[in-house]
Amino acid sequence: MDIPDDGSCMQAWLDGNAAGGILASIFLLEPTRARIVCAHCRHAAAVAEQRLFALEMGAVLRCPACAGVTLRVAVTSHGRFLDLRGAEVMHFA
Amino acid sequence: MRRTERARTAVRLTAPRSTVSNHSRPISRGFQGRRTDPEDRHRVPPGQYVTRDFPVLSAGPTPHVSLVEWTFSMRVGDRPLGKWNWAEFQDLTQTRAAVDIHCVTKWSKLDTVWEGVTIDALLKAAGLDAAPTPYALAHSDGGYSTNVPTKDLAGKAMIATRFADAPLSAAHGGPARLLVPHLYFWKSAKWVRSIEFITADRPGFWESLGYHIYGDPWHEQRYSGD
Amino acid sequence: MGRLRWQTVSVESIEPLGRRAKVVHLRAPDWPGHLPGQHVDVRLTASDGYQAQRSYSVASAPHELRLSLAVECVAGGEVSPYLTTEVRPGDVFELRGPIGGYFVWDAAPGGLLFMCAGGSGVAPFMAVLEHRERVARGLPTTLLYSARSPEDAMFAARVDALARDDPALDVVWTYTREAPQAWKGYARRIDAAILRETAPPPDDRLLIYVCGPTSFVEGIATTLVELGYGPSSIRTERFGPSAE
Repeated sequence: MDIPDDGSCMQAWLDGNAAGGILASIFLLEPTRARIVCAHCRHAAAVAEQRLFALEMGAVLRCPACAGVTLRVAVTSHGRFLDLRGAEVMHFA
Repeated sequence: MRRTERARTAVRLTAPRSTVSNHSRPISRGFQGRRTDPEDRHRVPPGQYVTRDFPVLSAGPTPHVSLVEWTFSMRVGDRPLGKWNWAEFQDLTQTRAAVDIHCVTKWSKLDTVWEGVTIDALLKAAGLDAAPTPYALAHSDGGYSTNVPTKDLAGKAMIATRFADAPLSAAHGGPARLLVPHLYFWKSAKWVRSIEFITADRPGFWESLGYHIYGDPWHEQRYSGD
Repeated sequence: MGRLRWQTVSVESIEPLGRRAKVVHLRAPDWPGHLPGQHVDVRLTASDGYQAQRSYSVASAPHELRLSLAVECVAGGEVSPYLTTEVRPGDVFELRGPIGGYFVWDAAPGGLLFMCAGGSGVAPFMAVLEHRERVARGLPTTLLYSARSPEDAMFAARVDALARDDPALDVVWTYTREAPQAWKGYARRIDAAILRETAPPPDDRLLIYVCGPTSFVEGIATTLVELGYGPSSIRTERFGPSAE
């Protein structure tokens, strides 16, 4: 959805559902249902349940429990970059 | 800090140039987006569009730190160079600057007015004539970081605490953010708490994920390889 | 199955949907089909190359011939004003989808269904309800829909018609700004009391879906857990903030 950019969305974040398109352009398997074990606190949650930031620059997913970064992706003119260091493991059932 | 330099090229821009390859995309009739045509096209780097809004873009939740707890510090390795609390920071020489800012997501905002302490003033307050190393890494609350050559800080950057004649709001990086307006705005780290001077360049948050290590909007250095 | 790619779609028709929304019916010749709950990314390109991109839930069911998006005009937005006030039949833009495997409803597992919609968050639930009408009539289902006013309630006539035709579908309205004349139902934001009175009791077979602005979803999901519903039975999709 459109987010009005008058600075009002300070505490607003989307969830990993909204990163589904970017992630589905990289992963062959449906990514929003995949479960991530957070490398920082070991909380397990679906990609769809992660807190999503910086959608305009790519996607930064954060653990819903500890807010640590679990997954980062950037779509650039030289290809896609994916950082999974914040995920101990990603499980596609 | 001087007002942003005019474009170095003398080319008259009739439409924003872009070095990004243009695959043929279906044009949506009647779609123009929010941007406005600028009066001074030569103030707008290639591929950018002027906005009157001030979009909020964050890599994480807005941190909330009280001014009582806030400090700003500079160091080289483990060696501290200076540390200021809010009151001490306000006692330093304050500078006001009107600059244009350019976000890598393609919006530009002209004539933004900031106040804060220049990096030069901070170095001087720390007893230094110049930066001690060729590079710097800015660190923010929440874990964000970005790297900048120190020659791009001297005379060109500040730690800003006020925007548009009001205290910088948390959404836009308050209490203080780095302001390096001649580079893409992801380098102007929100919620900045320290500058670490480093001998070798080290990529920050976005630079390590495919964004350009330097980020000059006038050469459209958005991504590494540009 | 391959990686998701952009495809060009064209507008077939547009219908008003409440006070500030439209449903946009699309022709999508390469559409591979979808599950209720999935969404699409929409990308607009201006003649000078400027682009903007947003996500919208698919409001149409898998069996429908047209792909439909329910779009609420957001003041200050970039894409929604275009889709609700400018777009005409024949216009084209790019679309990527279907996206999502978490916030989906597949009638096969059966079970009871409880959907909680805030404003435009009802969009994916229209796909669910139309699909349910086709393949799972009689499935015990409750839709709790929070809208600002009757004029802002999207798909109201259709939702009420579906409920009239199927006693197993229960629709509960609540209005947060202005209720209809002589309204005897809820007229406030969804709270624990409304959830206690509306939601089916906790049950292993119960599937709960909550969709709307972030604060709406957060509040309801938290309250449902406090009321004893298992977190793993609750699926959420946040649309980001919108004026309340």
